[in-house]
Amino acid sequence: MGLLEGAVRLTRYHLSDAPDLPQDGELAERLRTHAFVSIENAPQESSSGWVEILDPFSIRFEPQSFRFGDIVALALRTDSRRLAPAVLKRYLTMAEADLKQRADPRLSRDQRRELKDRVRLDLLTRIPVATRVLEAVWFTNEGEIWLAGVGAKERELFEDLWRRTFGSGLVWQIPILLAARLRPDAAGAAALAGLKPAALYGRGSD
Amino acid sequence: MDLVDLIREKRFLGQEFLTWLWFVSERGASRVPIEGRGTAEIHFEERMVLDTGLDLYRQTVTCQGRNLDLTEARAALKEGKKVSQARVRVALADREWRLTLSADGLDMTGVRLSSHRDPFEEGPEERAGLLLDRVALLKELVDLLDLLFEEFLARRLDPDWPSRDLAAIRRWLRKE
Repeated sequence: MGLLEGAVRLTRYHLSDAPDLPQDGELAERLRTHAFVSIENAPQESSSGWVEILDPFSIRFEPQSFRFGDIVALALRTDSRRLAPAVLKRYLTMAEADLKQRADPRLSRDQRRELKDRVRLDLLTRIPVATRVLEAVWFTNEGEIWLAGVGAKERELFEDLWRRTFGSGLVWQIPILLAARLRPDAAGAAALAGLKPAALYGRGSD
Repeated sequence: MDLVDLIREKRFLGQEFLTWLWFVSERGASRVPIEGRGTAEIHFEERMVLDTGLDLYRQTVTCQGRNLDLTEARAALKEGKKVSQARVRVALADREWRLTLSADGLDMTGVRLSSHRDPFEEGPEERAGLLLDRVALLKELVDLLDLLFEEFLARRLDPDWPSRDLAAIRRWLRKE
């Protein structure tokens, strides 16, 4: 599901300021700096970063992989694995019993914490990761960015990575902000600021 | 004002836009003229969500089903609820899109695009072509919705809004 196939979910953004568009070489360098890092063999719960839009397993970022005329197309990949609390509890209980038998029958708080961290890390590397890819396109002439995702967490992740990569913020185009962009004149801005809800069926203000 | 407050305070604008769009589509038997683009076909179908707002006592009504006549949705509007989400079919010339439009962020979900390309094409050039094709189709839709929003905005900010468009919406609701 996304820009390449299936039904699309779309959030629209506008750049908060208008920074100069980096040259392709610099753009590629920034993307590589914030590229996705695999957690396949690492005891981590999640990892997020940029990947190529046409190949989510590549982070080479040759210009032809992201630059399509006036459009820059990217993808945000997140790999994650979830360790269920019940699973952790089960293996921790077993590890504690084993340690008590082999060493001290009374474990200190530090020993318990250390054991829990060790069991957690050991289990994490044994859980396969799930991959999620969110595509994005940047219309460089218009300063508009689309994210093929609409959830609050998806937006937060994307906005954060964007800010870290490009140094400028994104403004979500909610209706009032889209309206302000379409009516940038002073009269429009004043009218929008003072706008109150209309009573569509006979109550409230007009 | 931060974004959360802005969303809360001005949420009604997206809701009123969806309601206005429903009204103009019904008034014109689904045909809505768009300046410079001809006449679009806009049809509200299958599913509509209405609510009273984001406060503690928020009440929500979901109307859905095939060949929905939206009587229930109209009744909810009369109770003071506003449209917060709607499934819409938009057609212009030989293009057609189906989508769910949300009032909060004008987010679009479930957007169906009719591309002539095969989504399972494997080569990088074919996939790039597919991507650009789909982005172009989506851009057409977004531009179309922007034009509609701009038209709504011009009317909503016009001093004649209460006596003209709002009065017409109220008449439309009373007739049902």
